[in-house]
Amino acid sequence: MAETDDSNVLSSETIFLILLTIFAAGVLYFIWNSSNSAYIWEDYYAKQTATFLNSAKNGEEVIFDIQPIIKIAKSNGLDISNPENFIRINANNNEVCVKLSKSAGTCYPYFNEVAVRDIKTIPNEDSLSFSFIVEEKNGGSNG
Amino acid sequence: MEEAMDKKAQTGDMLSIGYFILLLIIIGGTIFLMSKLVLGVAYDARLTDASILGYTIQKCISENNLKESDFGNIQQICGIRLSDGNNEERKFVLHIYADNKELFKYGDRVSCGLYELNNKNTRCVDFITKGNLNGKQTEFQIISGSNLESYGGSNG
Repeated sequence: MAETDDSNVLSSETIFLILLTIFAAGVLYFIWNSSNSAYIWEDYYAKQTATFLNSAKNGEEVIFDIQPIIKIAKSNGLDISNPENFIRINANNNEVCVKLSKSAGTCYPYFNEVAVRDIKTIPNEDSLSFSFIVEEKNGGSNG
Repeated sequence: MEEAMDKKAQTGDMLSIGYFILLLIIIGGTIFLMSKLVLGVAYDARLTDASILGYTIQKCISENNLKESDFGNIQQICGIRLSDGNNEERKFVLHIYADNKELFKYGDRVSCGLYELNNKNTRCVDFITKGNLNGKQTEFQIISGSNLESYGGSNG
């Protein structure tokens, strides 16, 4: 009988330990993901880029710093050699999509009927900039 | 007697495991909610969107000699598109008035007035501008608004 008691005690302790390990792993994974904060930066950069596109005129060159998101994209294993891997401007649907992790990314719409060309990254001394030239899509009188 | 005690002990074990799981759920839930409160506040671009939209229309009206019939086509004339690629409405508001007459209407401007009560409603901006309408100098009222939110993209 005493043996049965011991095995009961052992099994309940084991269950507590397993539960605690799963919980701790879950919390650590969540904290790691939150500190990485890819979603917040995706949301911010998608909205900022849409704002640039809304206020841009035909022929204007837009340049902005992307150093903070490059670090996140790199740490999430994205290929950063091609800028369109992490910032994509879809002129057919008037939307900007920013992708900094293996997830589907975050998109935000813009209303200005413009498209972009010459998308490139420009390395500076201690930062990296993203640049594109805005062009009119279908002959509106805007700008 | 011993069997009854074993059963009681087992019940006690199950109960304490239940309480332990409940405790973990409460701790986990608190961590999740707190982090969402601190980190989950998205950047609000609605006022900027509404202002740029209103300014674009104001500039377009003041620079073009428009006729009343042009306002059906105002999006093409001013180089904007308020719907998406599938012609589905986006959460913009754009109302243009002149001489107490509604010349163009997009979206529901009632939600503009409700923003003060609940910030999930549309953020709107009111512009007054002068321009030509049917060859006559006219005062226009432009109400522009945005209630856009970011959304998940498609993979690939």
